[in-house]
Amino acid sequence: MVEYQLLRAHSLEEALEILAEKNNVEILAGGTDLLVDLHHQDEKFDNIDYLLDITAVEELKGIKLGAETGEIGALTSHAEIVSSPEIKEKLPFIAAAASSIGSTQIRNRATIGGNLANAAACADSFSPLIALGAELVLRSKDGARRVLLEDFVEWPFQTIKKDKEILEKIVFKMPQGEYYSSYQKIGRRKALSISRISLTLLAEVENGAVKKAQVASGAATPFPVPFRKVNKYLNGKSYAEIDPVEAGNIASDEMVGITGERWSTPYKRPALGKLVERAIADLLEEAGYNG
Amino acid sequence: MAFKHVNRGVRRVDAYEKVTGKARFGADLEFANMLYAKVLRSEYPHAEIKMIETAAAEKMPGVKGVFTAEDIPNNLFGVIVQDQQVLAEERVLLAGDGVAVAVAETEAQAAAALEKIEVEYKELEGVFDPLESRQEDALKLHPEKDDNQVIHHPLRKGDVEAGFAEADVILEREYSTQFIEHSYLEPEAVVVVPNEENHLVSVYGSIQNPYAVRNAVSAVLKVELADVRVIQNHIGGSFGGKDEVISAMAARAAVAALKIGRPVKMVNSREESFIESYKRHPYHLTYKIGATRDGKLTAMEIEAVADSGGYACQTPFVTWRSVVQATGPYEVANVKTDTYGYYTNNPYTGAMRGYGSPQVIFAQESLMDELAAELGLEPVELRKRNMYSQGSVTASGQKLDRHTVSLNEVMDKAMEAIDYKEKYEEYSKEQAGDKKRGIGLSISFRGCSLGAEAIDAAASVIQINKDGSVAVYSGLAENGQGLKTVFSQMAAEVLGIPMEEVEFKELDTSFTPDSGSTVASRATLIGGNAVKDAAEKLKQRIMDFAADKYEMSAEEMELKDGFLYDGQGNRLATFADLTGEMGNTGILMSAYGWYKSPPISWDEEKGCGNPYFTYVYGCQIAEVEVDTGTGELSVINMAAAHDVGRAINPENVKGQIYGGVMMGLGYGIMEELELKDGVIQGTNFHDYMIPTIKDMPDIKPVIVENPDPDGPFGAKSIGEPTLELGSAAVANAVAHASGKRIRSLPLNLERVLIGRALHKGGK
Repeated sequence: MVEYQLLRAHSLEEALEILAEKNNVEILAGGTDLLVDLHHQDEKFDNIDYLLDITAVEELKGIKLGAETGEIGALTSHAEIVSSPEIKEKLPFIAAAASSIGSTQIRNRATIGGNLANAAACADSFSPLIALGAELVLRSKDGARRVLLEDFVEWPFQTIKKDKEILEKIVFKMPQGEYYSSYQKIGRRKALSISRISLTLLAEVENGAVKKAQVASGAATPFPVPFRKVNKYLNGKSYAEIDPVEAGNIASDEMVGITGERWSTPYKRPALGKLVERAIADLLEEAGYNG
Repeated sequence: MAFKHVNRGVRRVDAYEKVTGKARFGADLEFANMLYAKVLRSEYPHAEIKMIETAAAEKMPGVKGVFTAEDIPNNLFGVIVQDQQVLAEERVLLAGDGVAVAVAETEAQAAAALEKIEVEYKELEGVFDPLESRQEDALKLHPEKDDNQVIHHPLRKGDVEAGFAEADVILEREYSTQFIEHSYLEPEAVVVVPNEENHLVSVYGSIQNPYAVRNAVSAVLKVELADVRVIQNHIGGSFGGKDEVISAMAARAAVAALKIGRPVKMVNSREESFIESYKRHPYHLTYKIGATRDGKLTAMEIEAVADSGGYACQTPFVTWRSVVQATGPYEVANVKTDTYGYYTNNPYTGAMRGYGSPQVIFAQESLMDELAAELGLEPVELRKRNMYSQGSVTASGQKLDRHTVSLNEVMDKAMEAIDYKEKYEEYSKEQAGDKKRGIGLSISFRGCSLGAEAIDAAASVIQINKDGSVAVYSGLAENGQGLKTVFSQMAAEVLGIPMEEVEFKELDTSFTPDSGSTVASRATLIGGNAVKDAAEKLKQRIMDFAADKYEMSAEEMELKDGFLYDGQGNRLATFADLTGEMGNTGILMSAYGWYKSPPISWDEEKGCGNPYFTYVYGCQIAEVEVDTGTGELSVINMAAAHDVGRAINPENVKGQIYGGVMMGLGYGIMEELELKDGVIQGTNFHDYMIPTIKDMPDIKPVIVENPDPDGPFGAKSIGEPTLELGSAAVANAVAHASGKRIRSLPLNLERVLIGRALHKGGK
């Protein structure tokens, strides 16, 4: 039996105090991953003494999008992201990813910070935020540090966040000028489905050419990474020069380069290529390019 | 014939309590001094038990007893073959075999005690594939038997060699199907109360077949049937699944309850349910079919190999249904079919809605489309040239002349409901883009009720109280299919009383007559006839009394809407007054109803005879969209036409169709129990995918009615036919859309995109 004391923080300061003071603390946000694992008496809880419930910490909630920068509080639920008019208008791919997660009930409880901190390979929040080049603010009683999201995960379910730190918020630069995006996801059913592969493409464009492309995927690799070779392929190309199929192949090769040939590769190789191809088709269509 | 109550979509009689949450299920039951039991299960699929040490567990707080096979008076049970262990004695044969039971004041204390039980196993090599299990040199899993074969059913007709010689085209194909979970909403639950109301043990819980549980518990305890009372409660789904697994749980709880002398409750978590319960049989199917150039079938040779898992369970009967239906509803002069079941160290397999038909229908209806393509015929045309019509002779030599053979009608009506012809033409053209649409169909004939598996009879009791209220009892069980409503409708129809006057009573094995198991889509047909029989006996008594009293002939008078009428529209008496007077005159106002099915026959050696006394016919059509870039498959529309004889409650029939179609799609598209050397890899619904509401297509149910001379008011079956057709229809639609034929279930992302399945950790 896992035994622990349940603590509840009412402010960020109080939460950081508790983390500084006590050892073996597990943080409870939405609970949609943690409570399931706890129910299964997962052995990762063998050494915990406290569960710190931060759901009442208001400072960790909310979305602020400025002209230059934006931030999303770690405790913001997927439902709040989906229903934010600002997100929908300026960063629709984040809303698309959030709306594809779990069910209504899960989206109401689960938080974007929890999705990142849990760091499952299939977590849907990574690819849109990596495409944005997002950074995470990790705060402890001694201060805060910023890390690039793409450097955050070391291995599935393992991050560089220290025990005394809380994931406070996600910060990013807003895409500038003319930009288009696409979010793609394959699941085994139409709802309550864990991603087989998800993908975000975000591209800033200028004068009929891609200025800055960011392609990132979830579930294709053990931990989410940007596909730098695809980005490189797309950057600087005019619409006419882009071959979506070739871009897809580059992405697939890049994935296999990271994962090696795994049991799932025969499926994921063509499927990822197809998602990249479709994301680019979306981009070209939105940009009004008709080939 | 105009009906008052039957053939109408009346409200379910148990809807209110279920919708309002007042219905009490097995896990809701509480008794004074009740204890809780938890089961320790083997994690090894095949092992010798060297030693079990329970002393430490017995000393844990709150623990009242720890039980092992040693404590079970008779450790083997089974409906057909008595080879299933209540608790594993010397060997575990599958991962999930119960080894010990801890009973304590609380569930948590019982669970904590399990951790203190020490079991020393010697792991043994296992057999996990029936094709391996059938080899001569295979490891023998039940040493007392000659080999690993559970059963072999042959069927022979004509001369297949000659038939193939006549053929212009011969196709040989292999198909396979997977293990699936029943996925009932309510995990298993039982409570056993010792020494209650002059019974040694009373068993309550989520029980599909109360008489089968009574048989098992009395055999295990070595006591008389009359000592064991089984009372059915509301059940949260069963689909064939709450039979042997419940018997095992009830037997374990009964042993503990008697030893300790207190009620014992045992409720499975979802994970325990996955690990412990039996599954649908996976099949390996080999089909060889011959046809002339103009599409006339000349011969079929079929072999079906079923995985029985660790125990025989229902394998002998499941594979028997397969042998009868393996050719599909087609006239074939020369047939050679063999169905087999083999023991393995996989989870054991048993009854599940469909019962040996979904597997063979998937193969045979896929094969018909493959053959049609080979012959250059449209799928509908090939079927129409070969399918059963009135007076056709089946593969087992049965002439279909006792009921209406309505394949043509169900097929035409299903096609019309979904605009099949237009869509078939449209989707047969070249389609641009990755997303391709297709449409596919499948048809079946299905034997109603048990057939030659066992004596097929059922009973009912109807009791008219002195105030005119009517109590109806049946020996068959409400498992969610709507039996209470349908039987109440029939009683009200015959007795001419309003539905509100009919009270349907819970099944209690001590007071309702043994009617066998509520399986094989037999309740409306067999049990309905028994209810009708009891009601007619009472009606006869009432009319005789009334004829005397009013000095009129019984034929002139009529019972309607709770009144006796004189035939001229004048009320003579209320039903309550009339029957009350009869009771006060000393007339017995209760009646037993009984129905035994018409004669059937089966020659097990030759595989011929009249295995079922009637059949139902169905056609389902799936319209799909296949994403050829990602392997995603959407079923957009489904039409399901089923001949039910007569729909006693058409709304209920539609409910069966919606549910059965959805379950069939889960089987066809996404469900698969992942096993690694006999061990289940995902034991909850985040790993095991079942369809959600968003995966549900628009379903067009079509009820076809050709009243059956042997059915009550002409009614036959609907529960199982609804599930058996979907996977073949979808596979055919996928082939139509993408040009890719998939011969293994489920049609998941990988199979649709790359044509084969991939397994975690596999190569």
